[in-house]
Amino acid sequence: MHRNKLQTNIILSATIIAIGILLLSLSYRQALGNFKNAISMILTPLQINVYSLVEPLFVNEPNAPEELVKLNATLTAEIALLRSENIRLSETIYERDMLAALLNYTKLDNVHTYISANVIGKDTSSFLQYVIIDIGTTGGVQRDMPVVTDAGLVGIINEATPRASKILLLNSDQMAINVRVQNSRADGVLFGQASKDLRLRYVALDATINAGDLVVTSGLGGSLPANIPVGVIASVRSRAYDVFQEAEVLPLVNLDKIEIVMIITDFTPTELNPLISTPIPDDL
Amino acid sequence: MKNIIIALLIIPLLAILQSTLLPYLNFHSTAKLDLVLIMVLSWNLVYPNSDSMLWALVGGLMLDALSGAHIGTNVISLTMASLIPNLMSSRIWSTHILLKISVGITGTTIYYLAYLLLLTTTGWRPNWSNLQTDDLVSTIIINVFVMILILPLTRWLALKITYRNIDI
Repeated sequence: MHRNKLQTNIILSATIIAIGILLLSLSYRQALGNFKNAISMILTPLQINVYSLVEPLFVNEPNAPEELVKLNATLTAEIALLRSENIRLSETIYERDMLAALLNYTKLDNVHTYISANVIGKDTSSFLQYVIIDIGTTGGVQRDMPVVTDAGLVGIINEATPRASKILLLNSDQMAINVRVQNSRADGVLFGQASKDLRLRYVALDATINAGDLVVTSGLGGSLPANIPVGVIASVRSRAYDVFQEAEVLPLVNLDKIEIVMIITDFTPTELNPLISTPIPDDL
Repeated sequence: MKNIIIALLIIPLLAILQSTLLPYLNFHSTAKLDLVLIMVLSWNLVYPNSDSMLWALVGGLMLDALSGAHIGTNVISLTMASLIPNLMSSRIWSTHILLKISVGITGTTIYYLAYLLLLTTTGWRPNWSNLQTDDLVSTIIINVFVMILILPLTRWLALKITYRNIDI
């Protein structure tokens, strides 16, 4: 009797693990979109309601009337717009000098349009840096859209279901962003770390970068728009025998306490794969 | 059948609490309470029926839906972790404090080992220097403590399910 029960339990466990492996391989190939959408349709309304109950207990801000909340959202969006404009103008000064030499230079206007969204949950694992927001594909959100606050870059949309989306945060191990140090014009790649600071790598050894310098997105690679503020350099490590300099960067956004974010909806990431040259066959 | 219905009612709620409430409760650095894990372990300890393994399936699906990990990661990790209480538990030992503690420790450890292994397999690039042992130890202590607290509740629920009228 006991042996039969043991066998049944082992067989059932093996079956569930087999189902898990099947789901994992399908999810890895991104073939579970509809399945995720179905779960999200059930969980998101519940999550929004639970979050609305939980939030007032832990957020220190006093409860504000609905008009003030709306006004706050509008002003936050406006600040982001002005900040973006300010950075654009700073860039324009630099670009003006370049334009003197490059007569045919054209530059796209980089003032963006935003959708604001509330954070309704965080990743259930402490190893992954994701947050869940209450707007999905029905609200116009799509995968790979950049996410910001009035302070700067938060991350990118990693997954969008009809009613909710997941943001891959800046400090995720999965994140690597092409950035530029605003003062020195030095390009580098910013890598996320689970700790609060970010690591700036591949900065040319002859570039002058200092603590306190602002780091903005460079737009290289086409995955993010240029000139979104990302962080401030905290410390620089430059050794004569190294090939590149490195720096620790503190993000401008407090990634542990994000409540409202804005998604840049008018930016389409550029797909660079078609531009990568393919090897020419030997027989040609 | 009742077992699965209860799982479908309780587990999604716990998964949502783990995603919404628990991030605000900072116990110790990155250590956190794994509400769904301890519920699945507790349930398998007090009700070691084959149906109880389905709690791991439901719990895994809910956690994966609220996480950036691929779907299936938590399903496999939770099932492997819940095998221990499901196979170890018996009527004599199920109330012993040592069994509860050992299930909490081994269950959490197996869960995290399987989870990290699966994350690495599916392309996650862990910075192993950031994974601190004392965080895992703190997580285990928190999980064991809360598991001991909720076990009477899960036992009461299990008794409600298994209760049958006897006609004399």
